Amino acid sequence: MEMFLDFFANTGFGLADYRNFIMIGIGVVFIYLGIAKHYEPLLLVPIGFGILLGNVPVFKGLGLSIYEPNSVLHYLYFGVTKGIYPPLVFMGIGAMTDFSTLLARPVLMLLGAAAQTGIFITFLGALALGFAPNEAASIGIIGGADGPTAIFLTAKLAQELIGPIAVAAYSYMALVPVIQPPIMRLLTTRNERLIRMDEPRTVTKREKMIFPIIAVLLCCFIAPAALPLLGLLFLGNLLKEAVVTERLAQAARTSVIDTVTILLGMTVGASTQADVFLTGKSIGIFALGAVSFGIATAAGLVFAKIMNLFLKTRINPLLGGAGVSAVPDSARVVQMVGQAEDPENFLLMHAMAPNISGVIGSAVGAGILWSFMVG
Amino acid sequence: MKGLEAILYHNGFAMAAVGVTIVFTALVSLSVIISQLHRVLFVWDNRKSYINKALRLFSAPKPHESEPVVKYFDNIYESARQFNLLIRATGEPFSLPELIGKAETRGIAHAHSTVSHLIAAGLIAADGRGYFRWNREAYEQLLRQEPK
Amino acid sequence: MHLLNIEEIKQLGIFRDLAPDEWAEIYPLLRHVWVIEGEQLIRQGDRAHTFFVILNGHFMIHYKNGRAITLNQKGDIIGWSSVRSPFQYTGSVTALTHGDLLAIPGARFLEMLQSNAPLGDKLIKKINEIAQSREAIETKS
Repeated sequence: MEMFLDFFANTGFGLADYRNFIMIGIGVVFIYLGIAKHYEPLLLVPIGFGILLGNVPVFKGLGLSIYEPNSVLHYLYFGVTKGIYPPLVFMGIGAMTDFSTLLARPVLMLLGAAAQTGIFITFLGALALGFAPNEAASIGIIGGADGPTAIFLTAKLAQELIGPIAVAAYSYMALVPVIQPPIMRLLTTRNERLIRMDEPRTVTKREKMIFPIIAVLLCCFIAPAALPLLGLLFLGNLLKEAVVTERLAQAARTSVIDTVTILLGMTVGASTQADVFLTGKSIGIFALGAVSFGIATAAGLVFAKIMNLFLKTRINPLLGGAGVSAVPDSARVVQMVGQAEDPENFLLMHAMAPNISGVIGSAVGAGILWSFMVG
Repeated sequence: MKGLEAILYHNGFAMAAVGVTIVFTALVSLSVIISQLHRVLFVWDNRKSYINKALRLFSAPKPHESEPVVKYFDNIYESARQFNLLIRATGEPFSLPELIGKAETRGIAHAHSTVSHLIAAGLIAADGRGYFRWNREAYEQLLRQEPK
Repeated sequence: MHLLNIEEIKQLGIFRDLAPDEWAEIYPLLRHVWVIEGEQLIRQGDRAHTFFVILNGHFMIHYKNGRAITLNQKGDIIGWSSVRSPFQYTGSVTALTHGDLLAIPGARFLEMLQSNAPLGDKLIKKINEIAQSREAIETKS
């Protein structure tokens, strides 16, 4: 009987407390949202399942928990903590992104820059709420609406917050169609939403090949800390545009990014344990994350309206909302809101320009925050 | 420490201002470079013509020497007679490349340009089916115009 | 680069109606070629490597069946097979007089037409019209 009780005490049932079950419930909800509701399934399903794995109570010392140095999950988590997975994801993103809309109308890049002010305003808000600077920087980056960037920066600055920040970032990315439209309608007039964009010029293959080289050199000279993310983003893009390296680009945008996404999502989920997630800090992170998203959207919209005061040909200010780097969801939201006013107004391709610029801007912003905190 | 005091203590405003400035600087610079990229490539592709134009500004214009059109066609009448005989032997309608080949074989100089001039003069005319015919009326009219 | 200035080249039939950005794409591909009387530019059956536009001179397109047509108008095109499958010249071309032409490398021209749908559409339509009239002569028995 004693042996049975000893055995029971070492099982998950014996080691669990109510917080484990709450987290498991959250993991199940994430899996449900991903599979049944199609909210970012490629991310929420691995994260949700990772939450299940990470919150199964285990006996310490057997090398089972993600935080135990000799566990399999810990080895896989290495890619997160050392910032390896996010740049590989960026390489895949670069290999599947067509920068021609951005090259055709470079002025829209400024909308991506404007949307990144959300990162820094949220950074100030997090400081004001009492978070340490490194934590505040990791929370602020949620406003960049870029999951890999958020994970990359948090792994460098506040590893213990990876779980809630990653969950917050990906949750808000999945909720872009819910969060952005009201802000877009609030900050723009009907006449502005009806503005039609001119057809962009055609971009040559040569420009598309030269762009990643110029972009990586320029951005990394200005913000060297952005090198890991932007370096691989533009490598992936060059592989795609060079055509002769199509095999490598194909690998980057399929097997590499898919493998890394599985490992990233699963280990981030497994690291999201009750003692970190079910705290007041997490509530603050979620609240600030929502604010960050909203501010980023609003900043892009307002900046577009300011640009229209100086441009000869006005741009549709809805495009400013696509400056957050949730590619391509926020561009689709711009299309949806624009078409609600004028069904023949096709804004999607135009919105991809600030959307993609937002990816670059959020990576630069992350690099800057990292260098501030480390320096 | 919370609120404004926390922000000021950690130089929050300075970091935020510098951060936003750097992001804008990077993207504005990139945008300016890209907006000119296609123009730079255009100039690079046509650098020789730009260099030539620049050189021409500094050099005296050379008189343009054009070849006289009738260099190989001193005597259209003689050529017309030669081809008239040739086409009689060949028959009509005739294949133009074959005619030229036969003309070269028979030693008619500059057969290609001669044929070109005969076409321009209307003595050789296309039949619209890829073959050619000799325009006898035009030939006889030409002979009537020949200076004695 | 060309004996004619850009404005005159823009007036050539195939380049007429091009928008400035479309012209900016074509212009870097143009090369100037001089030929002498009797020179064979292209041979029937060869891989179609170059697309030509006549600037000056008289040219004969001739086929293995003995048929031929002549071209001497500024702006006439030669070598349309460089942008049409199976990318083999369907006729031979010989210069009847000294002349000069604009030459466009076929592979690059085709790549440009394929990457720019509106421009490709414009130019291919013009090329197809010309090709159809010549194919009628080539295939007549």
